Amino acid sequence: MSNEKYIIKELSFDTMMDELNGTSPLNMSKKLIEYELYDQQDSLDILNQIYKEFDSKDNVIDNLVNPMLLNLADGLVKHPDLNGTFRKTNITPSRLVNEVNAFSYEQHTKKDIDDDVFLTQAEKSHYNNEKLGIDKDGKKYNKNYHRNKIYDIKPRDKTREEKGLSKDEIIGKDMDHVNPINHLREKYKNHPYMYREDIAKIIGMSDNEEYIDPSLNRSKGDKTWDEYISSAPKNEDGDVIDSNGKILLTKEEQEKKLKLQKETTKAQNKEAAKAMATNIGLKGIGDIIILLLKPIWFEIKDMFKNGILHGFETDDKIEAFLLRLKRVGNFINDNVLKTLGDSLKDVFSNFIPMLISSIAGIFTGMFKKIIQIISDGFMAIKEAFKIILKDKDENGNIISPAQKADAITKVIVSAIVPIIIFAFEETILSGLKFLNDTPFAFLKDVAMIILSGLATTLIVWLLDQIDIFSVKSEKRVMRVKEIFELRIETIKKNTDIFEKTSIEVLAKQKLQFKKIASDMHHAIENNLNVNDSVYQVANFMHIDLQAKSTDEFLALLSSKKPLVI
Amino acid sequence: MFDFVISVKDSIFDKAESINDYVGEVVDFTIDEVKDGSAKAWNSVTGKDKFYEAENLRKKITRKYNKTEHSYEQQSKILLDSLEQTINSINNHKQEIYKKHFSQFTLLANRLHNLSIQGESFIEYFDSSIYEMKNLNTVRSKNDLYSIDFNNMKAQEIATGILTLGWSTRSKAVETLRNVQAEEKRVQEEITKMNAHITQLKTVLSALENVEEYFASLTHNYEKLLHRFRYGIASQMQKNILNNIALENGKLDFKMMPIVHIEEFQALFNLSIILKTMATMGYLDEQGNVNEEDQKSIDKIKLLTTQELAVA
Repeated sequence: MSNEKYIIKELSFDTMMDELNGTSPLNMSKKLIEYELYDQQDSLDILNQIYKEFDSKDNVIDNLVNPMLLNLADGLVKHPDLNGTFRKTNITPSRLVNEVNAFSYEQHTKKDIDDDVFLTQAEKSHYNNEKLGIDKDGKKYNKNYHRNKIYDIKPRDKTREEKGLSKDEIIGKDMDHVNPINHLREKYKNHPYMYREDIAKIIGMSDNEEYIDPSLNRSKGDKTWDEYISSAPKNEDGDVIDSNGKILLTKEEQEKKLKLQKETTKAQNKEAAKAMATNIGLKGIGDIIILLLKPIWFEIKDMFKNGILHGFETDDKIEAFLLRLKRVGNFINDNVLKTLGDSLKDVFSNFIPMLISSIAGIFTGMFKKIIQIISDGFMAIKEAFKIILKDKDENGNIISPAQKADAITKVIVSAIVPIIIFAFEETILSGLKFLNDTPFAFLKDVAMIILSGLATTLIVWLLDQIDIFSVKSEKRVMRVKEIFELRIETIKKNTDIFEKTSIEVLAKQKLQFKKIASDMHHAIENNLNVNDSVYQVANFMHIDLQAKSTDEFLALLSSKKPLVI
Repeated sequence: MFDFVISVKDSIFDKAESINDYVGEVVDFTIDEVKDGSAKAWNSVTGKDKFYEAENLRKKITRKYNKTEHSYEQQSKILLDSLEQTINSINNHKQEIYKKHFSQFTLLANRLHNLSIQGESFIEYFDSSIYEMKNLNTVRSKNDLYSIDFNNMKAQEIATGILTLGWSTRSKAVETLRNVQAEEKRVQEEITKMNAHITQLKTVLSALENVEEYFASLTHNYEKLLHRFRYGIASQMQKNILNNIALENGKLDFKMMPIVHIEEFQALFNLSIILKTMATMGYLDEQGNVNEEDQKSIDKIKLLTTQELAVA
């Protein structure tokens, strides 16, 4: 904080001496009254200004919100799965902070997002509509049209050849997809950057194909082995049977099928990830995350800085908060989701509500894991001890006990909150479970980073607001003391210089004049020439006399012109 | 024997009584101490101790401020009165210069040469309010400074105090103390300003008293010199009459005059310029800087001098 506006101009002894010596003794009183020993600022105004300085929300932004954003950015950029992404886009933590900080709704242009990335998406899943057998105009159509025309396109002969079987060997058998086509379509319908061809390829993977008995195939239908086995009728031994009691799948065979399904799924996930990575790389994801962060961050900052109600025509804080969420939602919807298409939309539209609901979860969860806090919080306690042992801060200011206590609390809290959050990772992020086993699993980590940063800041901010140890008023009174002591010292110093200099000059002048006056008096009394004394007086008083000698005066008299003084 | 028994009994009673008194005292003392101690502990929980500290500090700074302000007002009144008196005295000098000294001088000077002194004395009006200190703010009221008043607690405050285990009242008491501490510094500034202002008034007064002395001393010498000059002129007139020399235009011929009288005339002429400058300027107000009119007449003389010198 700068002291500039509170500083009183200091008088300098030498300057004042020069000034006074250059001043006519006749002008001394006027000159002296003009000196400003103190400024005209009202002391009450100054006090109010200092109080206002402390109420200003800029401190909160500087001290809490920005460091939190930087932490967050650092976490994002250094995330192993995003590392390469950010390197490609030249995004560094500080650049990210600047970009996100500079965001405002008015100034945002759609240029912020790289449209080209999203244009590469070809697949718009028709899965949901197709399931109903109704197209978007409401007309009925063949339910399996897409399934058969787009996805089930691998020739059966090719499958047989891949398996190294002759035509005879497969007589009386059906080719079955381990993970059925519609199952895979549903699974990947929300995944961005997957082309229809990619899904067809995953469906037609050799791992996904096996030959089974036709009756078993009909019985299994569109189910996975897992779904089929758990729902199919069984005899006392646990074997799957048909309506006539004929065994379709023995217990032993069931386990083999489940194992097969697991292995197949694994292979397919790998293939899907590969497909997505080759389609787009991860470039788009970094852009999306930043674009998501922008409005969220704007709201956080605005709430800290201007209060929740700022910019809304309501007195209800909850309503204002909801309106803010809506504003973020609208922005994301308009700028991010629309460009993304249906598949990615679901991923990110789940992401935001999850973030918000998790914040509430943090607070309830906090009371449950006290013991873990104590054990995991050990580092924080060690940090706190360090503060207790410190006498001075980095600037050499003495730390008061209250300030120490305040710092300790904040250290402990900021260390504990992330611990709690990671401890509750499973519950908090249950909303993002659908991301498991996908290339987007890292989004869970991103969410964790955002959440822990946000929660820490919120808690520390709350502590700051509650001000348990009255640190704020203490800091404020210290500032008041600092400023007023500086001002008082300057006034005293100025008064001192003023008094010394003026007394010295006035005394000198008095003495000088006395000498001249007494010389003059002496000359008058003793009939001597007085003119020298008169010229001395004129010099003394800085008055310019034009007739400077008797000759000059005689010349003046020689003229017959009247003299006017 | 009986007496002895009685006296022993009495003394036992006395002892017992005194022991009883002693124990009583000790117990009372301990109770007081416990009461005291627990009150202290209680006060520090509720923050009452901080509040009393604040209240005492407020009383202290109020006393100090009022005392300083009182003495400031007295001092500044004396100083302002003196300033006014000095200005009045200077005004008298200024008027006297024009009315008395200049008229005498021009009368005499005109025996030698046509001479006039223009302008008039500048009478300075003293407005003490201009020199009084502005923006002085006394110690603010309890309403402004106190976040809580333990002598005047509201029911709601007591309730929140109990609910928060004294935290709410304590933090408000601390805030009150800090407010008063800030006020202390602010009031210190006001006190420093008052002292500075008194110092400034004092120096201005002594500067003005110097000027008054210049006036007194110069007019005195002017008068004396005028007296000498008057004698010179009179003796010359006498000499002319005795030698039966007719005066041209009724004026003495300066060429015939002894140089000593010419020198007197020159001294008076220059002193008149000085006195005119002094009489036509202000000493507290901007209006008085050697003003333009003065400068013009001085310039005219300068012009004349150079012209005449050229002729000579």
